[in-house]
Amino acid sequence: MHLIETRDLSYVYPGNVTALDHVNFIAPRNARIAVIGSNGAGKSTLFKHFNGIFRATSGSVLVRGEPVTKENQREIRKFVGIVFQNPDDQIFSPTVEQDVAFGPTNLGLDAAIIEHRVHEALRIVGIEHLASRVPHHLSGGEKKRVAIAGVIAMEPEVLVLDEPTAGLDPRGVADLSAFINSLSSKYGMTVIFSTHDVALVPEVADFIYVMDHGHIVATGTTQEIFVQPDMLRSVRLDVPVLPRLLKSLRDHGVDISMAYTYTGAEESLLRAFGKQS
Amino acid sequence: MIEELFQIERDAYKDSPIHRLDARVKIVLAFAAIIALVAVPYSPMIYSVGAVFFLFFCVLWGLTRLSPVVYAKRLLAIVPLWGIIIFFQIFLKNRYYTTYDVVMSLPFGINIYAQSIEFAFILLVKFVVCISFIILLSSTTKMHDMLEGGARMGLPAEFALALGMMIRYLFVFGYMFRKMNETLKTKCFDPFDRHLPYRYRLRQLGYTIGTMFIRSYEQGERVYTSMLCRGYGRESYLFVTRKPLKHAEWAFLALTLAFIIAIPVAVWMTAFRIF
Repeated sequence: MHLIETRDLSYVYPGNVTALDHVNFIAPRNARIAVIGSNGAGKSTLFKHFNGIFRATSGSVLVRGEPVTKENQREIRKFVGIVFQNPDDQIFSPTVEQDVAFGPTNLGLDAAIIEHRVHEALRIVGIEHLASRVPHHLSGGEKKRVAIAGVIAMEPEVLVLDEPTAGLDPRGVADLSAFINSLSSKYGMTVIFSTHDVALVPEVADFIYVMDHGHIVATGTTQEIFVQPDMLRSVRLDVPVLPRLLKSLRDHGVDISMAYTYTGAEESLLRAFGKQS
Repeated sequence: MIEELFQIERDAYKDSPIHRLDARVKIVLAFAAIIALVAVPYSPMIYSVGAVFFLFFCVLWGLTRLSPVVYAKRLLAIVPLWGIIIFFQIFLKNRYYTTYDVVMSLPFGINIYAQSIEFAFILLVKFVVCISFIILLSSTTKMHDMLEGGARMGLPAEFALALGMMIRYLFVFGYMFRKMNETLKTKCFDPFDRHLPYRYRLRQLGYTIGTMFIRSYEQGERVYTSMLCRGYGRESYLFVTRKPLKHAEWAFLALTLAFIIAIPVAVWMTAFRIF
């Protein structure tokens, strides 16, 4: 049984705009899944189906094998946490602590447990020192962390991040990638995220869905997706810089193995230059 | 006005013995002073009570280490609202006097009465002192502390949650307004530039205000979606931790409350008059 599964999911916005067209998506346990695609590809719309914010026009969405209904939507929203692109949409309480506590209070927990969860969530994202701060005094990266902490405090098993790197500086992106990896490796969570930043994908995803105009146009591992430059260009994306460079070197006759992550590319280059066996 | 909002916040983040007091103490103090002043009968006795209360306020304001100019500016900012109400009292009869002596007769049968002038002065004293305590509260208490203080004193959960969101988005829209203003400036648009046609300036301002409305509507939709994602429902409330008052805060509260109650009672009993 998959944690999240969509079967021939279609969604049409009012005004007859088809946002999703027969989308089949699977999220297994403890996976890191990237959904990549250009603006308007349908990534955010797909995510809003995972916890019942949007209801399918046709097809179905199964969470832990069960369809999303009005009766189980509370449980499902606890199980699937969504972090939206703009933290200002998600942080609506006057202080960081109160905002992170919003989800746990809605679960009907008592004050001591709420406090424990809030401090634990803030600790996990590394912003315990910001607990009493007001959101408009925070930087973009700090706000993003608060938004993530607010969802983590509900202890979801699946964390969905919509464009998590949008508006972050390079250090913020690096911290976020390390954080996404730790969620999967340390806490066994399934992480699904959307991004335009293809360079980030090999670092934090095991599996990729490529979307375009509401369709899934390709699925596969990093190695399977990033060897299709024509397909990626046709959906206004590109192969990340490192594999593109290594592919170019190979095409020019350099004996070098392909790699997709920074560490992998470093090893390949060191081997090619005879600095490592 | 938006910049005033940010200035009030900057002042509230400063440090002083009054700033450090728990918000509940300051809320009770402000409301007690207002209730005491409102309870004083409409008679010249208010001048004495008002003067003592204003002195008390001045001592507290001195402890905040904020400039008196800050207080004066905030007081004057409210003049258009209460100044007009008070000014018009001099032309009107009211139920607190039985006889009226005309001081000046104006055209169209309009008269200025001696008793109405006295009533206007009484109102002025009540307004100035009450607003001074509100200014003291708002200038030394962070908005979220005030909300938490209110929630701890029994403000209904629905109000606390709604007020909390209002505080949060007041600043979000403050920043949005600031950015839009900067955009207009970078495009060399000044609504007071007389070189530009009046209708054009009005239309551009209309577009700007319309955009703010649309953005706030869209923001509301997105916020509601994210609230639903985090289990928002009928039983949602703002989480406020328990925080007992310190002994010093209890002592300060007790002393100030005793003072606020004792002054009007003493003035009434002794018929003490400063003026």
